[in-house]
Amino acid sequence: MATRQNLAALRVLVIDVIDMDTIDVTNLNRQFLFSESDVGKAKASVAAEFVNKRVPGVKVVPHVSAIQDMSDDFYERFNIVICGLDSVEARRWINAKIVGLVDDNDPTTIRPLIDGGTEGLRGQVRVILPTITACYECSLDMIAPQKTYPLCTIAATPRLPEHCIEWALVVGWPQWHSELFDADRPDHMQEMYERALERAKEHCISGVTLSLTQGVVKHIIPAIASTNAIVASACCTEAFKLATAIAPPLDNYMTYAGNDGAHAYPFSLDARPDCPVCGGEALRVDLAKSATLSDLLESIAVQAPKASISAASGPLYMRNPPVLEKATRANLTKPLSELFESGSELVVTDATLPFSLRVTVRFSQDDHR
Amino acid sequence: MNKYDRQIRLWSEAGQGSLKSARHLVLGVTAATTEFVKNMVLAGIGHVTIVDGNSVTEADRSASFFMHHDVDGSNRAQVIAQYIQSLNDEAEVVGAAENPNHYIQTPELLASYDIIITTRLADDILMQLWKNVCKTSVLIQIDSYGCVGQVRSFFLWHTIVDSHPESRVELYLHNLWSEIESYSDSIDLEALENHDHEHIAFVVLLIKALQEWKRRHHNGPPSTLPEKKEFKAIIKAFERTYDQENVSEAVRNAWRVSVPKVPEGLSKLFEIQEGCNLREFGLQLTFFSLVRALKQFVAKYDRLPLSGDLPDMKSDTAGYNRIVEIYRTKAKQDAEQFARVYLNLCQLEGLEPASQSEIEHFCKNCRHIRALRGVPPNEDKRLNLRVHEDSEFKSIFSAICGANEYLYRNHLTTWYGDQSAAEALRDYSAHYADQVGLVYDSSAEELHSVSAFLGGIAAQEATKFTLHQYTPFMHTLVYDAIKQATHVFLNGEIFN
Repeated sequence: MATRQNLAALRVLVIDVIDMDTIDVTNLNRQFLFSESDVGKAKASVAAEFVNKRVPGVKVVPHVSAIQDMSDDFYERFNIVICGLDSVEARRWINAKIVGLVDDNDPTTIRPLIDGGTEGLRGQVRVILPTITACYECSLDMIAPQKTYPLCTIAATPRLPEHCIEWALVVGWPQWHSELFDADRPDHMQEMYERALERAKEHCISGVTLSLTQGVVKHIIPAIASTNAIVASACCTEAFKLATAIAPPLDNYMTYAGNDGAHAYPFSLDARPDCPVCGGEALRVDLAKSATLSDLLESIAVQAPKASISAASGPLYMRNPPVLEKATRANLTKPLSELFESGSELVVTDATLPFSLRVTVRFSQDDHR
Repeated sequence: MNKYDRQIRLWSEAGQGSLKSARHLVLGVTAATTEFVKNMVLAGIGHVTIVDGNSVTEADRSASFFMHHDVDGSNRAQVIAQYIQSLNDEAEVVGAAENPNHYIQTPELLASYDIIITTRLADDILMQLWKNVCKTSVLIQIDSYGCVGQVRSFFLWHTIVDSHPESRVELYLHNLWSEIESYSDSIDLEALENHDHEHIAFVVLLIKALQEWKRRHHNGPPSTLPEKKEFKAIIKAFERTYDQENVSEAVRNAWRVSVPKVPEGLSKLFEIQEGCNLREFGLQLTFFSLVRALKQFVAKYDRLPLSGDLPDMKSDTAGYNRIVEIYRTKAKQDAEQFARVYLNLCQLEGLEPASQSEIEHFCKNCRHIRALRGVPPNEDKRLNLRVHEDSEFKSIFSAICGANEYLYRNHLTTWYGDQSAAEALRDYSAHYADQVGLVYDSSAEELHSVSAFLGGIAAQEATKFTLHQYTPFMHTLVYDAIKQATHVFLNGEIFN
């Protein structure tokens, strides 16, 4: 949010802003374009109206929508794209979109993508020059996996309050309700908390609170005004450099850490030749000969959590439509050597990704399993 | 839901309470100090007074988002205060139309603030301010010029109870007490079915391995490399099924059986307070009296109090619950014994004791407490110019100090639109560094985004000082927005 205000104060003339969310009271500790009376209204509209009123000569155009709903024509209208997204999925999507719009014969189609994010007193900023520097997808394995709890622990041997909350969410809720759980509904959240508390009491576990329940269920990431100001302002400085060419942009990643001292540390990430988005080569996976198709899907779960996969000979496993899923399900437990030859190139698609992934699978000589 | 929810998850309700009762004073309005105030007010600071004697100018409106375009002629501090007040009615924001110099020279006006923010002061004036406030407050200086800037903090002592360590787990297995040992003895590993064996907490496996170790060796826990290997082999021998998770956890945690030392910084703090009149520690009196009590606790029990924290571990529910209960009980007993030592000390020294919850909080975190001893601004500057430090950042630092000096001596608050001032500054700093030239581009005296970065860092630091949580940097941080890099010229001592 601070990004918009910085850019406006630097007199960037037209800013289009996309956000599908509405303002929540918990945004107010850091997002100063909103006030209490704005709670429930669309973030993009309120922010745009505020900046338009405050800074004459600047035009902010709001779009209350998901980034995925905007067309290629829309993204082609801009010189620079700045992201303050809250999920890996959305970042991968916009990254693939902006890289995909590059026409090798037209350098003006290389639209710099500036990405900022924070967590507590830490944050990071990166500048992506599509097809020139490392893209978001190149460094996917740097992202820490989300904290998860093994199902057997949740179900059989809960020890922490988090285990009880996860049980209520994953095991309990689908048994009690046909309706999907909605974290934004206070009545749902209250029930989730009460059920988790009940479970905790049965197992003599203390520490389940409404606040912890919300934190676990919604994967809440702590956020404060000062860190957001640091990261948003660095994003703007980069946009300013790119727009005016007064100085070279950040090459290409900066982390900020304020927990212990204060450090802004810039470094350069290398582009990966086998990046499925910006590289030319296929991703290479080495697996034992006896590994199954399930094992293969697991080994590419970081890149494609909901993968469908095909070989030159045809589909190996398809999640949709249901008929095809049913027809290909049996392949999951088959050893790979029955399905294709070592060194084959496979194509992986995933409904959450705007691109397909090429994977070369080699069978290793020694079977470690 | 509470509007501070996303930050209470970081620093707790108690931390939010500290912010609510904090009072900051901001001497001089720039885009950077304004950004600082905005961040603190959004976070729920109790009170901020902003002092500035000048009216809003074209330069302000160009650099600061918070200066409305139709407020020409009004006082800067009051314009800013009024706008920022509207961001959070739980904070109190006051704008004073006064020359900051008046405050700097009047100690009574400064006395009630925990943190004082300055900008663009000449060195001798900064020293004068420091002398007036060092006993009562932390002094933070924020300067933003073009593509560079700095944040500096000055204080006599700063103490941290909750430094947010990665973990407070301490098993104290070298010194088993009866409850934990008899619980472990109640489990007969050999007699267990595989499934139950796989669900024995690693703490129990470590205790059993340690007992076996003591049968073989009649000295302390394993310390040399071959001894550690042997110890791990003892643990490994418990394994019944391949890659048994609880056994692997025990091997990974085998190092925890060694005798935990009192951290070096803590030992130094024990020495520093020894023989001192505790009242000399001024604002940090409570912290140092707790440190003295901790030293007495260690002398009496030959160890630090237990935090009571345990990690999650592979175990059945009942077994884990039992171990948690044993550790919590022990930690509670330690906390009670520590409180007794401390309250005794307070009575002896005639001190007002800390609250029960403060004592418990200190006791739980005692292994990870920290103290920083700062140095005055002038000494800081002299030491900052040590030859081995990064030369480019040193040039930026010198150029910023030069700019501050120049503006202050010439009674200028800005050189916006003042070509002769810009040129004079450029000449003055020409020998520092090329990229510093960007500082003196008269059309870009303060870049909003650079000021927002510095105001953000200063607010993080002020928050850490206010909370006595997390660790602030010592003492001068220089920012280069071209590189997106900071450099800290460290000065002072840190005890941790």
